[in-house]
Amino acid sequence: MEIKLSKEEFCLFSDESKILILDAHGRLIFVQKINENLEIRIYSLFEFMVEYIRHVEGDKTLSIKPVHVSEDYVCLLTGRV
Amino acid sequence: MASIIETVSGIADYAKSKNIAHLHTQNEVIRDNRLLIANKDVVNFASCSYLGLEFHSSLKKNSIDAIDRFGTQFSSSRAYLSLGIYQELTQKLDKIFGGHTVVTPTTTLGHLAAIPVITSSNDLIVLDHQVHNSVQMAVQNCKAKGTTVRIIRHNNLEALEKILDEERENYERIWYMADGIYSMYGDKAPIHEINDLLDKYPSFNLYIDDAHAMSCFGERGQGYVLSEIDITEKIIVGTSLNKAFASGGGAIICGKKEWAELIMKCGGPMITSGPMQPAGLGAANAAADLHLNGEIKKFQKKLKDNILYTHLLLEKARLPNLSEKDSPIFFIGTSIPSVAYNIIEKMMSNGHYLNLGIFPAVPIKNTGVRFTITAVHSFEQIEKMVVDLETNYHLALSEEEFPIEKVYRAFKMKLPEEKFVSEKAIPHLSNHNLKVHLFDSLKDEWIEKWDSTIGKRSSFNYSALRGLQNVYSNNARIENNWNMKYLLITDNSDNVILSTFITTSLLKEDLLSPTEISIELEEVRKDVPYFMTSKVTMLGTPLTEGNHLFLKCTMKQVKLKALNLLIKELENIQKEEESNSIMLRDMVANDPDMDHLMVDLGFFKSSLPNSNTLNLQDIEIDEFIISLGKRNRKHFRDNILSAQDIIYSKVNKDPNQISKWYDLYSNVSSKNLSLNTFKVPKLFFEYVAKSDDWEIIELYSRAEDHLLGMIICEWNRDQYNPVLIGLDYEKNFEFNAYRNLLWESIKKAKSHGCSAVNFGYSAEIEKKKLGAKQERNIAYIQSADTFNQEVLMNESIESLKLAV
Repeated sequence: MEIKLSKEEFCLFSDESKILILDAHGRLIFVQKINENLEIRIYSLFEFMVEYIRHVEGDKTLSIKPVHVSEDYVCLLTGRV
Repeated sequence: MASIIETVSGIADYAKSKNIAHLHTQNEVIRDNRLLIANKDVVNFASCSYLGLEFHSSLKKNSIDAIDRFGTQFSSSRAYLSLGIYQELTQKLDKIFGGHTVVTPTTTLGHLAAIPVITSSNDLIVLDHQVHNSVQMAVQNCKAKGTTVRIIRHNNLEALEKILDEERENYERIWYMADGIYSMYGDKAPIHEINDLLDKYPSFNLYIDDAHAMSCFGERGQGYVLSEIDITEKIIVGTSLNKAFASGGGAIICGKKEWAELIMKCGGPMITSGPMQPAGLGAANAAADLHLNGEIKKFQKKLKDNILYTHLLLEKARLPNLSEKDSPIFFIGTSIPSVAYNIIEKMMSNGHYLNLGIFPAVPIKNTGVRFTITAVHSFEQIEKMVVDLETNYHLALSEEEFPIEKVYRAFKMKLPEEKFVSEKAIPHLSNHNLKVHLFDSLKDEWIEKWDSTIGKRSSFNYSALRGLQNVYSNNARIENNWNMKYLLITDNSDNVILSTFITTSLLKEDLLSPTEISIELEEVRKDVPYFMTSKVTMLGTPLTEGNHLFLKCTMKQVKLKALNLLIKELENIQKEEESNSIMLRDMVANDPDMDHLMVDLGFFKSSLPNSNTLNLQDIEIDEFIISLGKRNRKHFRDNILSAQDIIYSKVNKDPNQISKWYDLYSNVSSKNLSLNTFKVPKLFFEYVAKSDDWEIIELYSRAEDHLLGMIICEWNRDQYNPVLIGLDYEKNFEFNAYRNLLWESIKKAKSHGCSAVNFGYSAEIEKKKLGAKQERNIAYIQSADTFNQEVLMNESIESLKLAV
């Protein structure tokens, strides 16, 4: 049995649990600090992408949700091929 | 009646021997959900502490602090004096629930204190079929004081409303007693619909056990029921402080203050049982604070996500999950116990501790693997458990040769898609070279095999059985149509390993119930003839008695294989005939191997009346009296020999006598309900008059030449089998007709050179007085629907009339 959630299923969880799922099954593909306090991370999780925005100083999750980001676009941003 | 204790004891012993029940932890310290059991590190998936609060620092600190302040116990009846922290706790619980709370030492003692006090003999109690055993126990006390009790099928509010409509004028109050979340399948009471009925019917009251939902649901952790509806004067909720509340004790919450006061003052265990002790009270006060200050929500959120994750993974694993979406209790159906035992053993060795959901908590055919999810579990622990469960589930089905279709059928669930089933779940059957032969009738080459095995016994020779089969075919009445089959299992060399005959017929469900229940049911049947009857697939026929199973083999493995094949054939017939139960009857009482096998296959053991057999081998008729004990000799002289001058007997097969025999038999049949069977049709008498396998002994008075009675016996070369008796009750006492008919059958058996008389069931004392030996018999029964039987055991026939 393959452990796999759909986008819709992932959305049913609380933010704390979403982070746990990302830690266990996600692949971090992009991190960017917008300013000193705001950090955006993009994860590849199962068959979709997740955007995780957090307040660094307060260690607070501001948003964590599936997004439409193509891998090509991420490669472009990061310079990875 | 069913020997429930024997069955439960057998199940417990078996589970114990497999190291999956009655276990102890070996941990020096427990700080989370990891346990050491039977030298194995396992994750606990069986805890009812759903929020994991037992590890919370404030509960532990408060508990220790209470011991420091008040000692390990405060030993006084609460009717005299309670610790002050009891009052503190009660006030906090009042705030959590919004009602008037009575704190009790346990939930069970809470029910025992509350239910007999709040109900009176003018009330009617309606029990949900699956309400927790502790509620049912307390209701037994109400029955003793004259309160009427009925049982309805699980969550059947239609039946409940029917009672409310019909009985509201007849009782002061009508109580419905149910669970908020049911402890085995984790399903819920339809609380909003029940609340609508509370609004609609003024005399309707609700008593609900919400133990498994405490702390997990609601803003303040008030449980499922009180998070959905507000408490009113017509509602009482019983709950546990010993599950997610993590403290010990129970609570009864009343909408009406007077009830809470009454329970506190008059509830038996509140006066005579010890209180909750300081450690528990300390923890409970700290737990109540977490509920009131909102900290509880953090734990509820984690639990909710863990439950959701488990459900999603189980869905992907396509396991037959019976639980509701937000319940922390999970139940994966296996139908038969052997599959559940197998899975739990495998899960244990993979590092997961799960429980069995088995009889008496659920019907034996609805056995399964029960586990719980708590806030303490990590997603990783849940993932690993579900992955292993999926693998082990299919492996166990295959090893136990039990097709998954049967699981879904047992739980009335829809099968997953065909492809999945055919690929994964159909086990490979290996028959160890045994061949199954199932016939509607036997051809010549099989008759000899039959008559030299099972046919040697009692009245089971092929010719006699074939005669019965003809009598019970093509009749107008349903009960007089049997579907009989002959089953033989042979080995490689065509030796018969097992032989038996199987009949599917309509039976009265009170067949083995106490006579007073049958009398009541027969009254109902005057208007509704087939009330409380159902189709049964059984070994033997409703008219034959004795051990119906010939099983000859020394190798245990082969014997078990043959029995497995027999059960499979019985289940096939049951499916074809749509019968409710399978019954293997007249089996040897003490056979532990057989007990284990049958429990594994989902049968429960039930006591049958003793059979009575008189061994004639060393007895001469002229000296029969010598074979008896001193007291029985006197009985024989006074009641049998003394009548010989005024009576005479003869074997008569004159068809003109048929009506007389039938009338005499009808006298007995209508009076004797100890084995409540359908009346034998007249056609049977016509058949025995013609058949060489049977003879009818008539008993007459010499003076008036009056027919006093008759006994119909089957003569099976070596064995003599009285099957039916008929009596003129007006003359029975004067001529000791019953006793003399028994004696006449003994003489006739001896004259035929038979070695034994099989007197069958009932009238044990009379048969014993003539030297018959008793043998304990049992039946193994498997029912698709056990509701009627359970209600009969509770002697609540009124409940069954709802089905009419």
